[in-house]
Amino acid sequence: MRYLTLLLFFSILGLNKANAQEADKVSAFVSISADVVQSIELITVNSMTFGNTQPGQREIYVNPINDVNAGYMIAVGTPGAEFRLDYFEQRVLTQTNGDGTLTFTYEISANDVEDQASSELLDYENRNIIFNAEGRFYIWVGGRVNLENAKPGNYEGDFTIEIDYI
Amino acid sequence: MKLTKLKYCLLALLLSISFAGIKAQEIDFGTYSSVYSVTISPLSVSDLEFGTLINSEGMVNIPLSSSKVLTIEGVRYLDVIVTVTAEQYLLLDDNLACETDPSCRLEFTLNAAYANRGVNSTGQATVMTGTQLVQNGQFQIRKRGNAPPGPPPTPVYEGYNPALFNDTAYLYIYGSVDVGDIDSGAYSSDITVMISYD
Repeated sequence: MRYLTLLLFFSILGLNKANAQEADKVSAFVSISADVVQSIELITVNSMTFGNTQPGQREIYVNPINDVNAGYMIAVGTPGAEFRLDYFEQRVLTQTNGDGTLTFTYEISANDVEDQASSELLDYENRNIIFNAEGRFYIWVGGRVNLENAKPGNYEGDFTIEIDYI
Repeated sequence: MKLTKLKYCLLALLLSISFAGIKAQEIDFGTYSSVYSVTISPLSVSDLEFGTLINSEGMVNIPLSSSKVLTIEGVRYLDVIVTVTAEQYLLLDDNLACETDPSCRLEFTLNAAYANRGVNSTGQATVMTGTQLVQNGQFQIRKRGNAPPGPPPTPVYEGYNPALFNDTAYLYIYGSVDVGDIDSGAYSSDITVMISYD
């Protein structure tokens, strides 16, 4: 019986020590976070067209809000996500079979519903634009070019638009 | 009766020797940890933030140089045992149902390192070892390096202030996430750091 008591005593000592070590641990917590968004796609539905110019015509103007010749693009991303939209306002068009150039001044309008007529003009730098509930944003591309000193021929150029999440 | 007492004492002595023999040459400072305190605290407010990730962009890494830094303050000549444990997934909107739903969880791989040369410098950090979710390390609060050993620990006396012998080590937590084709939104998780004296 005494031996049993002694063994019990040592056992209790052992348990106490284990508990003490457990209690002597200190802990801290670190939070990890990430925001996942969908990649942005820019879909060109229609390119901008001018048709043939008339002799003596001094300017071509495609109104992005009401001209059927306006280019039409759809940006697709995360619903409700904020993004910035920038574009180069002026681009040089080059003559495809000559050395003539034309300076094209772009105008774009945009809308969060698919309705060109109610779209609004955008500056070349825009922030705090938001994808709609379907993750879409609609863009119409127009602009103007002065033809007074233009050489006859075909001209081509590009339009650069940049969209990034904020 | 006296003989029985003698046997009793002898047995107790033998058992004591036997217990002491198991840990010969080892001082278990955990026994004294009620005297020696250790604290851990974040060096900066920000958490381990991956920021904005694009759906399906693959592996995104927060390197050691951009890690979350914690300070460990304790007795400079004592070893601490550090265990860093992460959850396997960051979950969308803290929704526990996402643990089993691949469309709303983000797999995390944990890395950790420490610097114990008295300077907060990732360039002097030692990378800890372990698994994808658990990293372990045992190190002195202040590495002695090639210097000669310091004096033996100061015995505890009345008015003894162990904080006078404290120093700071730095713990770096970083890692990576694998961004697959998952739902958009805010993902989060927690990492637990446990520290005790050896």
